[in-house]
Amino acid sequence: MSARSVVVTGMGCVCAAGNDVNSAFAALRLGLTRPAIPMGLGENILPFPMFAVDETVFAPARRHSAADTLTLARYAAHEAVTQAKLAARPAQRMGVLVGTTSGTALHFLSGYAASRTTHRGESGNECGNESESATGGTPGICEQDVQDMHPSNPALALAELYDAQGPVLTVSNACTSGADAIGLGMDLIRQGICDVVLCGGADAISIVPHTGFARLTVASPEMCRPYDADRKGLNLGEAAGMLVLESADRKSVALGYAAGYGTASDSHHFTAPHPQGRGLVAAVERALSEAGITADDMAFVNVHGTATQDNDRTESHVLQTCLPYVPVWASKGSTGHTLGAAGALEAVLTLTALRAGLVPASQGFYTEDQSLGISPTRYELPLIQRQALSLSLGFGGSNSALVMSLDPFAGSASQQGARP
Amino acid sequence: MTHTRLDVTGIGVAHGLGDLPALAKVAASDFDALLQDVPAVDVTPLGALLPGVSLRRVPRYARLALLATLRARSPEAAAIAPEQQALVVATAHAGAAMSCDFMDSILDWGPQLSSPMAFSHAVNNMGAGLLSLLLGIRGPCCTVMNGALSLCAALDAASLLLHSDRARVVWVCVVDENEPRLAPLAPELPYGIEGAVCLELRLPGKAKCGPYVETPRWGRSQVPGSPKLPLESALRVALSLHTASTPVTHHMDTVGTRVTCTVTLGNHDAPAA
Repeated sequence: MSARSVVVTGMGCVCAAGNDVNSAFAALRLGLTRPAIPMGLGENILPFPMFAVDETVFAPARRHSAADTLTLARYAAHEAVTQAKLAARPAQRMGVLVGTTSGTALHFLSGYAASRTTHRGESGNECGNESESATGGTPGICEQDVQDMHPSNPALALAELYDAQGPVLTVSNACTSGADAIGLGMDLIRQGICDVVLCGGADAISIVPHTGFARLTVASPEMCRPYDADRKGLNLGEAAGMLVLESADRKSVALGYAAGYGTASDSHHFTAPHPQGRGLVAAVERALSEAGITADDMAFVNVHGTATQDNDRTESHVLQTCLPYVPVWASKGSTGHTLGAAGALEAVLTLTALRAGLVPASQGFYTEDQSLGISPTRYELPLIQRQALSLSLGFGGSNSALVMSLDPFAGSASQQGARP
Repeated sequence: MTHTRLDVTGIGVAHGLGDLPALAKVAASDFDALLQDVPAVDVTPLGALLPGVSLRRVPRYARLALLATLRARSPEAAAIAPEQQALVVATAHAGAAMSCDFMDSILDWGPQLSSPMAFSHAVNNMGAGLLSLLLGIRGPCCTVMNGALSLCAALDAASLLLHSDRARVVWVCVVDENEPRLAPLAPELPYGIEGAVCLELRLPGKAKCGPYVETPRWGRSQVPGSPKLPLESALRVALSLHTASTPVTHHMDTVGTRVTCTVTLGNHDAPAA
């Protein structure tokens, strides 16, 4: 396995907490974000609140198609690429990896509704002419949202935008998509295949996944409370988080390092995690091993912490087993569960927290669940250690872990010093 | 760009016209016959391949992938520790039928009564998740969706997993199902095709024998007539691996972007030119 350091030279994000990394992190510190029922997704929307992105990001308007996810990906990618100054330092060998669920899903409800009308031979050759309405109100766009699908593949679109001539992967592993895109991007650098990788995750929410999670009875009718004794489920969120990774050979200005990645499958149940989290344990162990560190070297762990009964229970078991006494930050109380973007957004937030030397309070957590024995941060916590772990679990039994660090070889005593 | 070879130690197909030799015979005179008016895939052999396992709740999309993967899986690879087995599923539209079922249920009954089962099986990595569960694969399980370039993305992912010691064997399975409800939405794409192709991949052995595939070359050179869906690309690659005696390069591009890819494959046993 190559020992090439993977340098983070650019970060970008957009989420309910803010339209860039600094704004989002500041809002998380203040606990300012709140979910709301997304009436803009349709009049028939079920009454479960979500953390929506500022609508101006989608200007002039949401398209309610895969194009919305691409909009978020481009937004965050722009911030990351600008910070990395890639325009002045182009790379011959550049790869692009983006994790997403909505960005490649068949979620074009309005278009599908209109096609059902046409297919049944009823009137409605044009959008809006006596065709079915997907959302209960005025029929929306139809062919447009279908036509958006192919050019909106996020990794392919970003590869064209930034003229990346290397590997292009759109990773769709449910809620570990973003973390897996970053992990595979790290491998591209380590194996000497690419010098630069743009990687991360993006997901915009439409009425389809919003309805789906509500019908699975895992969504909360109120603000989510990760790890709390009174937690009632998750709030969806939408976001994008992107990183620019580079090989150390390019001698770029480092924001930090992507030091370790682990991924494993539970092979236990399609939607519920393994009770003892065997896949997550394997992923954590591999990530720590790659980074050359132990749990004692951790400043904190950013948990998946969706606030569902199953996730928080399984994850707490793994925390007790593998990461005892490591401070826990549950950030989804401020961003919601951003699905394919989550692993990437939280990698960005994890590194940002390390750079700031503090981890914010975990919004939504008030009362410890004695059966879990885990208390996420109730107050802002100053940090001493220089590396942290970010965890993701997904439908289908996937589990991923990323170690983010301020040092190229995490845990090295000789690297202690001022934060970059 | 570094390009490495991966040994292909197993090939499996799930296709309405039969196994790989049968497909090769048809393709020899008309490859397009593999893509048009093809009977539905017979998935009943799954009963014998997975005795005692209930497939009642396994959607057809996953059954196609399962059948191809079981046919590709070699006894040697199956004996590798589950934690060191990996799976990469490549697909254009994942569980299209379940996605349409879920959208139908929203439109017919309203969000309050829509089908949670259909939604859970409509998630893009449903195939990988179910195969992981049914085959006991506990290493990395990944789904890539790059349109017609999904096979290329999957080959890159497999190579990364093998070279980083995250797995000792990777099954790359390209799968898509026939979903007529999608046809009115995109008439330019051959949605009528269903099937799966699975390649069992390992790092090159010392003996250097048998078929191999190289990691893809990405670019921008579009070639007219290139496959537009990953299943077509995968069938071409599988047939070349099965029949070619000299290295073959397949070109792929995809609808909606200018990104393209080529995949070169060959056989170590072929006589030197």
